[in-house]
Amino acid sequence: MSSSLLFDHTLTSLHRGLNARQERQSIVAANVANVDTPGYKARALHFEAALQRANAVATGSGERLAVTQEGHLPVAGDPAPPRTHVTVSEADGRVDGNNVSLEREMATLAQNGIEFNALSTLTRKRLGLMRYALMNG
Amino acid sequence: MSNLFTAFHVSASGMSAQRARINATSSNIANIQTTRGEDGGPYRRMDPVFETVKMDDDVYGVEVAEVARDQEPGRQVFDPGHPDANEEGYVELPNINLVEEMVNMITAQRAYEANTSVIDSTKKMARAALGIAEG
Repeated sequence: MSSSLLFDHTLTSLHRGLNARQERQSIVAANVANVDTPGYKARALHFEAALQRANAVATGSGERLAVTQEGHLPVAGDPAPPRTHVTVSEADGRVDGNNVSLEREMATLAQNGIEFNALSTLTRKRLGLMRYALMNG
Repeated sequence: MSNLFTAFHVSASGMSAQRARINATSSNIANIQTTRGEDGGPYRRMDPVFETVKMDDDVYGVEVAEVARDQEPGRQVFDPGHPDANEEGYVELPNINLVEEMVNMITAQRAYEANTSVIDSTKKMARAALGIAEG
C-alpha cells in the first residue's frame, strides 16, 4: 500500500498488524485442533521483527531506497510488505511425537485477541479522526 | 493467506475429531460386557486415529482417518452358564479398561472445550473487525 494523505503510515501499520494477528489466529487454532494428532508439531507465526523493519523503512528511520541518479524519485515508503514466517517447534513432546502445549496456545490466543482488539480500536479511532476532519472542516 | 474464517474451520475440525473420540469412548463403555460384536466374537474396542488435513499454508485441521478396532484378546471370565462360554467354561469379554476410557473421555472433553475457546476468541476478533466500520 503506498502512502497518501488519507492512508498514511499509521493506517498501513495498523492494517499490517491486524493481518498478522489474523494469520496467527489460524496457526493457534490449528495447534489446538491438533492437540491429539500423533506426530503433529506446534507451529508459531513470527512477524514482529519484520514489522518493525518495515515500519522503520516506512517512517524513514530505517533503510530506504537509495537515490543514485538525478532522475530517481525519492521513495519514502515500503518497497514490499513485511513477510511473516512460520516456524515448526522442535521441542520434545509426548511419546506420540506431538509437542503442542495447550497452556502456551491458550496464552498466545489470549494475547492475540487482546492485540487484535487494540489494533481494531486504534483503526476505528484513526478513521474517526479522518471522518471528523471531513465533516467539520 | 489464512483469514479468520480459516480459523473457524480449523477449530470446527478439531471439535468434530474430539466428538468422534467421545462417541468411541461412550460406545466402548456401553459395550463393556458385549460378547457378540459385529464379527461374531466379543466387541472390539474402538480407537479413532487422527490425521492432519491441510487447510492453508502452514495451517492444518484434523480429521479422523479411521476408527481402529483393538485386536488384543479379551478378558477370560469363568462363567460356564453363559451361552457364549467355550468348552472350558470361559467367556471372552471385550478388552476394555474403564479407567482408560474415562481418561480418554476427560481429555477429549477438555480438548473440545479448548477448541470452543478458540472459536470464541476468533468470533470476538471478527466482531472487533466489523466494529472498525462503525466509527
